[in-house]
Amino acid sequence: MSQFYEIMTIISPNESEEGVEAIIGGLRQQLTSSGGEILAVDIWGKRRLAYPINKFEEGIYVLFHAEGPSNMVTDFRRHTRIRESILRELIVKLDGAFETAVRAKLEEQEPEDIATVEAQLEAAEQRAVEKLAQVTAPVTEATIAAAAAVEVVAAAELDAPVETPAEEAPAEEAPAEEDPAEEAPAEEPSSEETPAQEVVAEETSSEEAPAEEAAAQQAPSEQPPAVEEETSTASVETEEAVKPSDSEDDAGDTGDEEE
Amino acid sequence: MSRPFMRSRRKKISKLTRSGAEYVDYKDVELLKQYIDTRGKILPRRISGNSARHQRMISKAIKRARFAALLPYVIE
Repeated sequence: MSQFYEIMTIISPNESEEGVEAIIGGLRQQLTSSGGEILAVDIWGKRRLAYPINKFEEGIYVLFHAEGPSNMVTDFRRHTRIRESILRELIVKLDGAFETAVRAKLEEQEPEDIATVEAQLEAAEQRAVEKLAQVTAPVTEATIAAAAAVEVVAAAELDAPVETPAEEAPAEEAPAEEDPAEEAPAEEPSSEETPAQEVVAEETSSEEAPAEEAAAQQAPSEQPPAVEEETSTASVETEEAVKPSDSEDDAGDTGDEEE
Repeated sequence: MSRPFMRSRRKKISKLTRSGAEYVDYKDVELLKQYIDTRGKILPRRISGNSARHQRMISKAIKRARFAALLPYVIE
């Protein structure tokens, strides 16, 4: 029976952008090849880890929503375990209210996805037209200047449709710019922690992310701000509910609580 | 037998219980942070004011968040 899963993976911050894409491509392929259907891929980007994993202070978070049989999970685990650049994978089976909430959220994003895809198609079309114009233009100097002018206009037009969806996804920009080399200084290898990857098995990352993959991923990456938004509104006015400081010395008070 | 010097403390009701949340998302770090103490420990029910059901959901979510390095296991 098919189940609905949320899969969170943390990829090593050392990976280059292409490397990350290749890994994500591999993961997608892994999910679909064992009979799963991927409903969404959400790239959170680079994020500080709450504690170091394999001495990394940061990680690239990628979130998948997928539906599939249970063997999809075991296959996926095997796949991720042997890949050293995947620091963590957390697979949660969603059901009940959680599932409906997540599904609703995914549904909401659907229209946006379509919009971005359309924008990209349009951009591609314009590029093609532009090329045609350049090829057919006769080579007098005057026309070259004219062509250049046309090109500028076309470029401006090109920018417009692409930019609008991009503005809604500022999260996407940030990780791209970060230099993989600027990885955090390894502090003292913190205490116990991490049953993670002692795997030595080397896999040449043979999976290649198909080019469309990259395009497809742009859309879902609009998720993080949305998620944050919703949750923060939910968590207003809780402050007084929690008093962290007295938790430890409170053991003696236990009896006081009214039934 | 009532206890004469029982401190009367207003029972705190967590906002989760008040709002009747149906699930707790482990990715909701800001929410979960309200249920850990300064050392990163999960607050007991008597302090957080959670219902049993919500306490289960919260503690599970915190543990998941810890695994995903969204929350620390210990704060030193």
